[in-house]
Amino acid sequence: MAKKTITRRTLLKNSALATVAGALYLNFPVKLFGRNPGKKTKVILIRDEKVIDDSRIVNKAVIRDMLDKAVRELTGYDEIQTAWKSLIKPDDIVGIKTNVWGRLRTPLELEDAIKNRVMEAGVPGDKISIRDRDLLDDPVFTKGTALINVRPMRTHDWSGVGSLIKNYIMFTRKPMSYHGDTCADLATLWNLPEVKGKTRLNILVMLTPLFHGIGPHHYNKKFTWAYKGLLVGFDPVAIDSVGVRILQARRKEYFGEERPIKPPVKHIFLADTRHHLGTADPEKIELVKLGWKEDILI
Amino acid sequence: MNLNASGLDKLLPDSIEGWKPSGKDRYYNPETLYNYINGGAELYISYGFKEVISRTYRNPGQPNLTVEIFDMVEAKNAFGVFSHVREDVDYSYGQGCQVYEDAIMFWKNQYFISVVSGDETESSMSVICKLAEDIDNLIKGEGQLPEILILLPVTGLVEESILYFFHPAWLNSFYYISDENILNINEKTHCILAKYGDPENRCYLLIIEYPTVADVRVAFKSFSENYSKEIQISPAVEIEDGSWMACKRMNKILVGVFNAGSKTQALELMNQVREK
Repeated sequence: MAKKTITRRTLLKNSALATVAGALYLNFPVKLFGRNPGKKTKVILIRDEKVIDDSRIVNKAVIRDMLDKAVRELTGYDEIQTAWKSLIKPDDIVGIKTNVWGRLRTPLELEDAIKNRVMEAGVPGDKISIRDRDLLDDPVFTKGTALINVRPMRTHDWSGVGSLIKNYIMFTRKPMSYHGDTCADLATLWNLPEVKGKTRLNILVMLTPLFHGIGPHHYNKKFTWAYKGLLVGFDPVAIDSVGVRILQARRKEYFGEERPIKPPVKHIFLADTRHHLGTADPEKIELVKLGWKEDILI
Repeated sequence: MNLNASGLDKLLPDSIEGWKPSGKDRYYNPETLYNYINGGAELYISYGFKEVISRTYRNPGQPNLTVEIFDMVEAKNAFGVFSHVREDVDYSYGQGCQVYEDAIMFWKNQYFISVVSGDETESSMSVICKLAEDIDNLIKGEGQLPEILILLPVTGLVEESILYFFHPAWLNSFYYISDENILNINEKTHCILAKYGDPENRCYLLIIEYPTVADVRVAFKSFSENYSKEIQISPAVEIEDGSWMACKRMNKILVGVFNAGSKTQALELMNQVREK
C-alpha cells in the first residue's frame, strides 16, 4: 500500500483523520467517544484509588476485583466465572504474554489473578504459561490456542509508546527487523502464525504509567504517576489509542504546554489505517469508565 | 559484550566513597547495544554511537549506582543525545548537565554520560554528584558544539529546548509537522529545533543545513508540496488553526517557523536567522 503523508495540516483539514489521529499526534482533547451510532468496540477503563498504596505496593484483592469488574462489563455477564468461560474454554492452551521490563513490569498480582481465572475456566495449570521472553521456546506459546496480552503503558524511545500492539514483538527472533520507520508496522506481528486470531483479551496496565522517558534506560520515577487504572478490551488498537490519549493529557498537564510523544505513535495510527488490526477512531470506541473518577484525564 | 579496546574504563574512578565496582564492566557496540537497552538503542545509533561502557558500583546497605559512558565519536553527536534529556540550563558537570534526585546526565567532548542511583538515599544522592564530578575531571578537553547553533537568534530563545539531530525521527519532538520525512533529513544534514517565547505564546524554530544548495531546493519543494504550497508565493502563511508559519531558503539553509501568533511574529523570528 502506498504511503500517505500525514502532516499537521492534513489533520487540520481532514476532520475524519483528525478524529483518528488528532489526539495521537496533536494532543487534541478528545471529547467524543462512541457518540455516533453504529458498531463500536468497547474499551473498559477501571480505576480504584486503593489498588496501590503510597509505596506503590499492589493490593492483590483490589486488582483482582478491578479485573473482574472489567471482564464482567466487557463480556456482559454478571457472574465472573461465566464471563471468563465466554473467553476461555477448558481445552484451551493459554499463553499469558506479560511484560517484565525491570523498571515497570506487569504486577505479579495481576498475572496471578489472570491465571487463577483461566484455571477456574477449566484450563489445567500445565496448559498455562506466563512469559515475556523466549516465547518461541515455549510450546504453550508456539502451539497454544489462546493468548492474553497484558502489559504496562509507557513511553518508548523509538516506537513512541510500549503498547499492546508492540507487546507481541517477542514472537519473533528478530525484533530489530520491526524497527524500521520508528516501528511503523508493528501491527504485522499480529499476523504471525503463533499469534493470528488467538488473542482473547487485552489488558493495558495504567497503575503507574510512564509518560516521559530519559536516559539510556528511558526511565525516571519522577515521570510516572499513580493513575491507578486498567484498560481492558478485545481491540488492542482501541485500547492503545485510549492509553496514548491519557499519556498525552498527562504530558500536557505536567509540561504546561503541547509536548507530543516522540517519535509520534505511528504504529498505532497505522495499525488502524494501514493494517486494519483495530480502530484508533474515538467515534468507533465505546469507552466505559468504571470506578474512581478523580483526575481521570479523559 | 566485547572486550574494551577503547579505554572507556579509564574514564571511571576505581571506587567512590564506599562504592566499589561490582561484576565486570560491560561493553556494547551498535550491533549489541540492543541486547542491553532494547529499542532504546535506536536513539544512540541515530547519532552515530560507537561504543558504551556500563559499570555498576555497589556499597552494602546502599543503592547500586549504574554508570554508562557513551562514545559518540564526535562532540556534536554527544550534544545531540544530551539535548534529548535536557530540561534545565545547568553547567555544573561537563559541558551541560541535567540533574535529578537520583540521576545525573551530562555531555563532555564526544561522550554522553549517565549516572543513575537505584534508589534515593542521602548518601547515594551525594555520591552520584561526586561520581559525575570525578568522571568530568577524567575526561580531558572539551568538544565543539554543532556549528549550526550559531544561527539561533538569542532573543526569546528557550536555551534548554535546543535539540540537535540528523535523523527524521526527531523532527516532531516539540511540534507535530509530519509523519514522513518531507524535509529530506538524513545523516548529511544538520538540524536544530528550538522553542521561543513563553508557553502561552510559544513558537518553534527549525533550521536545517543541507550539503548543497540543490539539496535545499529539493527539500523546499518537497516541504511546500506536502505541507504548504502557499510558501512558494508568500514566506508566511496562516494555517488552519489560526497560527502562522514561515519558511525561507538561505543558501544551504532552510529555515522554518511554526505556531507563531501572527504573521509579524513568524517573519520577525525567521528573518533574525541570518548567515554568519
